[in-house]
Amino acid sequence: MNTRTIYRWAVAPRFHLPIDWPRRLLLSDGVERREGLFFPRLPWRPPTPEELARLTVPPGAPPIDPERALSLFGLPRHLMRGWSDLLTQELGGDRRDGFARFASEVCDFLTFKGLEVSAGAVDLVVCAAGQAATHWDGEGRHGAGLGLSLPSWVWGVINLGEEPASLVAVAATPDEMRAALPDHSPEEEMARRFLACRSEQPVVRLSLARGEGVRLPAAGLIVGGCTLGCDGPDVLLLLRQVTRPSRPDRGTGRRAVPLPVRMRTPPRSDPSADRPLQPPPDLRFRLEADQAVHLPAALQDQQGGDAVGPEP
Amino acid sequence: MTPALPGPLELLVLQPTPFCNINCSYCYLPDRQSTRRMRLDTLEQASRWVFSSGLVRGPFTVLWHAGEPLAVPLAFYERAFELLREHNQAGVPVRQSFQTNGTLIDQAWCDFFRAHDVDLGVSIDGPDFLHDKRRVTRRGEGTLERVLRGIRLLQRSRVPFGVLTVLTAESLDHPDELLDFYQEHRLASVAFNVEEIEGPHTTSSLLGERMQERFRRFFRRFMELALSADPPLVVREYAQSVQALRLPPQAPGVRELANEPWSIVNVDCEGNFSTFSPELLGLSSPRYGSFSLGNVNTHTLQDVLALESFRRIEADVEAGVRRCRDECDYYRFCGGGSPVNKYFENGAFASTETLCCRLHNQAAVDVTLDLLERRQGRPAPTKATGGDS
Repeated sequence: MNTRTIYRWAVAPRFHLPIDWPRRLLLSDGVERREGLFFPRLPWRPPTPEELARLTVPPGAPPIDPERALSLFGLPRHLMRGWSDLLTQELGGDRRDGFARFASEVCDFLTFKGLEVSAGAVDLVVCAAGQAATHWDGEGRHGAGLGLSLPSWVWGVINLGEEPASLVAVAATPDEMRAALPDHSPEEEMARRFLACRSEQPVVRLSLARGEGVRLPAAGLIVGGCTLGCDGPDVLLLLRQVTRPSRPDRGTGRRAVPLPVRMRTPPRSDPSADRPLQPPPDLRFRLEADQAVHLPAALQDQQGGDAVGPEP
Repeated sequence: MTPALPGPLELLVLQPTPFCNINCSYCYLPDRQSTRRMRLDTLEQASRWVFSSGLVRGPFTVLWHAGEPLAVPLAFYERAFELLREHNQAGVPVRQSFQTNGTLIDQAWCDFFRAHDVDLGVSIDGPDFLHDKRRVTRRGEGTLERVLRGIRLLQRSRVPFGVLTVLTAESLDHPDELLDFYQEHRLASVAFNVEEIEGPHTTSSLLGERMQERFRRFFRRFMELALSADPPLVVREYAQSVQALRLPPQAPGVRELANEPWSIVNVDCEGNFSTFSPELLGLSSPRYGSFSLGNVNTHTLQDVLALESFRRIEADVEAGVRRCRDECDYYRFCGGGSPVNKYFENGAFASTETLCCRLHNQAAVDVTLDLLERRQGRPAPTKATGGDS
């Protein structure tokens, strides 16, 4: 590995995950460009012990600054049961409410664990099997190829699918990317320009078990999903930061921050896929766009919104 | 005026052996490596002593504890139960109960518990990363798998039991994982103890800064999860707090047996006996000497009542309870606290608040009050008055 590693993979404080990093991580020795998009160069290989030591925080080691880490966490089984129950419900309003409640419970849990959830929106993203890399934007859409999450629209992702999901990331910080570029780039261009001039930049692939998630550093990084080798689609819960204008609530002068809940479909095409893109599976799950849900007060505070209290 | 009779006895703690086959890091038993056992003639004398003392004036519970009771062969208890019955000539109802670490449970024990309708408590601290850190063998190995094997046997044999979990500072970060654990293993009721400072265990992970706030956050989240579970998990601390909060204002508050002289009698495997907190048995202090007040073979209750050392202990415990009554808003919900905690934390029986009070009692009442208020959608009774008007 020929680059400085800034971000490291770690288990979030207050979580006990039996992580065997050598079995979870794979490395790609750089990126390749196809049709203007960047993808990890195949094949994926296990990291060497030296690479592993630089990339990960070993179990039992003192915690590191979460802003320097991709922090792994796990949802408790009772929440995952709630998710499974939700999938068996009939379509309609109950399921919409159920999803909003589930999303809120996930945020409550993470907040209790000290992960300082600052997500303002929760999206369910379903991504078909067979894609080498996908990325997400500030609207919760995803597209093919590696992309930059900057500023970090994505607070974190959680695997809600039946099988392990993969996260791919370049461990470089935005500062490191800027330093590698000869001139100033707008943020949207930075990832592409950085990968163009650093094609040997290793890409890390982490396998996320069902119910596991990763909290991403707020400064942003090149991160996305990968469904190569999967039998079915990835189902990811995307916790995003959204800055939205607040609106008056019930004329009390207090404001509520809406929590949009959406379901996203896979990108239309992926030039890296070896096989035709499969249609999205029928998860028997549909949500309407921009369904407003009130965030827990603790989350509203963190977003600068006022708490929604009872009528005076 | 006739002096009040001591007692009545409500809990008889019998120590079949001080030995414990495991070595928990927070254990307060000073002599847990000793393999001494209570002889049947000692037990017979203890039975005779108890039933002739005048303390037995109603139903009471026998608790086999203060060491691992299942480390003693089952045949001992077959005979012990017979002896207790033989000396219980008035036929007073007696419940038999065991508090065990669960590692030695086998089918024969399950059959015995069922046959004798024993009340059983099994100590288990949650998932392996919590349990196996503290509840270890003398070689430092975790014991969770052995306990779970015992629990599965109890469940297959339809032996009712409750579980007791000791909370350490680390546990407070894991209410969701604890709930998952109880649900996964089909444990329907749980009681929490906090890691206390007692005897040789001279510190606690719960002494840190902001621990009370952390404990409240933990208990609130755990109770929210437990109450919304299907079926809801029964939590002793919540159930007791609800009961206390619903006492009519004119009713007497909650009692604490451990600070009432002779409501609890503790007898060790040699026949030495004490009263107040069971944990005092086998311990001593510069001020009082040994907390063992006599021996069932050589001392009557009247002998002990006349002892200067007993009178000093009794007076100081009573002074501590009086101070709790005068100074603490929570007195009505705890009855004045546990003498053993007061002595080993504050250095005196005649003292008030302890770690156990702040966490186990006060936090539980406050959180319960708040949850009741929110669930019922109306103000709950206040701490100061109690009542359910």
